Amino acid sequence: MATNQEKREDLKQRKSVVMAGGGEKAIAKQKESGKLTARERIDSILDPGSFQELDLFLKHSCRDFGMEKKDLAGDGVVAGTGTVNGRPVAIYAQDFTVVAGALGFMHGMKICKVMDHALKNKIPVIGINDSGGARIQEGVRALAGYGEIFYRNTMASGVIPQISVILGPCAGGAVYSPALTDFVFVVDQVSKMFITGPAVIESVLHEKISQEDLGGARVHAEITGNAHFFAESEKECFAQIKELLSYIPSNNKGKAAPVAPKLPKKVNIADILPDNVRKPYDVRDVIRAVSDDSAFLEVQELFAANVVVGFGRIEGQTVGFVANQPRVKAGVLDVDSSDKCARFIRYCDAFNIPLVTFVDLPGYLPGVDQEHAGVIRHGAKILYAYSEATVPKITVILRKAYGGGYIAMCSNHLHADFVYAWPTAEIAVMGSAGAANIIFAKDIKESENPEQTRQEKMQEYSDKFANPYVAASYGYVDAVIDPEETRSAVAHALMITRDKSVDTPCRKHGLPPF
Amino acid sequence: MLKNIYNMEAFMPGTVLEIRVKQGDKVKKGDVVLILDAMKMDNEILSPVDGVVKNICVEQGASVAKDQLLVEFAPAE
Repeated sequence: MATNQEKREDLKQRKSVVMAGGGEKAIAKQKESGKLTARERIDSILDPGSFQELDLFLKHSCRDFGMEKKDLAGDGVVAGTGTVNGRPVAIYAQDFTVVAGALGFMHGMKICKVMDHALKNKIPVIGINDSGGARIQEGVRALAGYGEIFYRNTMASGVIPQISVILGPCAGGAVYSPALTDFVFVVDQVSKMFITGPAVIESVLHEKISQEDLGGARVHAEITGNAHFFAESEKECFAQIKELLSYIPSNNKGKAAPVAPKLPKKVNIADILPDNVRKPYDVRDVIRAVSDDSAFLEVQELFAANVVVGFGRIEGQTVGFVANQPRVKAGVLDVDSSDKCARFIRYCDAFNIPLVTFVDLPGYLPGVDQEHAGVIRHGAKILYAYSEATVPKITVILRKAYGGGYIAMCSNHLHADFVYAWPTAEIAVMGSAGAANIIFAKDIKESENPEQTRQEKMQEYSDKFANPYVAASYGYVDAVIDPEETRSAVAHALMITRDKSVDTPCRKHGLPPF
Repeated sequence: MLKNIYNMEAFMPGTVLEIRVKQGDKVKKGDVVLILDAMKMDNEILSPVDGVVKNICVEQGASVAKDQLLVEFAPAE
């Protein structure tokens, strides 16, 4: 009979075997490729000593192809619960040193257990992906593991924050889990995401492409929009995750924890907008001029940069900023920027984060490729998202607000709570040149000097409509404010709308355009 | 096909108002390369890469089509 002391020693011994993961050689290889181990990653995100590991002794269930003779440490994934800056979270990290982090059924079940913890206890879940894909020896059992994860991702959507961190390959069906979550973090040269890899593409299409060019971090941060945060290193990535968590609540029943309010850095907000309406400027300067401590955590910074979205605080309370970016593509809305904008609005609405929208856009981008790419259904997503949102909606029209773009950007008509306009705002159905050509077509045609008449009529139209006062006369603009009053006006609106409630129609769910 | 990131194209039809670089100039990603009049704005077209200006494919005052090549860059030596 073993003594109690011997049993305790035995536990220690068993633990140390599993904690060694795939062994020294595999760990050395992981380091050579510039990656941290699964345990190091978890330790870098969680508060020191806060990790309670679960299912350390889990074993895989495969009895074929000689797998029954193999012991896989923790079945290739480290999972458990812990805290980040004192807040509880659930977390898992695939261990590439153990059979390349390949996902078998029990590996999948281990992930599902922490996801269930997260959903039951209403805490965020962080998933670190570093896996070669399905464990082929397990066949359909491996697919069952994925499917159960996807189901839970969907059930948890809009209830708890779900964060995916891609720190290695994430290929085939595996990429659908991150795609179902709220925020995807990628690291340059480390992250790889694709449905079919370069080998398959080459054999089927005879096209050669590297993993990096097909689905590297930059590709997903800049081109596809699959990634929300791009970092140069794992260390920077972990700092981004912690910063994001500070802005969002732990679940959809709560609000983000307020922090001590700080004034923005002193800038002359009225000087940001150039006098010449044709000149671009960086709308992020406006955001930083009103946000606490001038802090702004931009989401999808490198994707569809003609619209800017992200988190900041006003008077200590988290808000979601949405703004047209005149500096990029004149700030037009197009397919990608509509998707980016609508998704962010829906995120904020799901997690009780008030929306502050800054408007300056010439409209939707004209063009055959945009129309054929479905700009109608993509653009409609913004209208749907703003209309559907019941969180406080505060809009500030800075400059141009024309046509459909004006309506879409959280106008009074989509039931914004407060619509402010700067005196520089131009709110009209279209620009003066286009409008004059249509309304005064006859006058221009019959004029002895058509060009002069066109210019006069343009001026006439512009004098009448290129201002906020016509919209204000109908009550579509609630107040025309001096730019310097922007922060205080937005803070006031947030204070008034703090306990806002809206009754929505009883339905199973709406059908937003996809 | 994979887009060549060293090619800078017009995001919309417009008029080239100003060209701010010369052949052989070194540029950093995000530097203003030229000003394109489009969507009633004087749009600053920014360099997509760190590199050297290899070829300027348009002249000041030129009308350009969407996706027309404006400037070719090459990797810095």
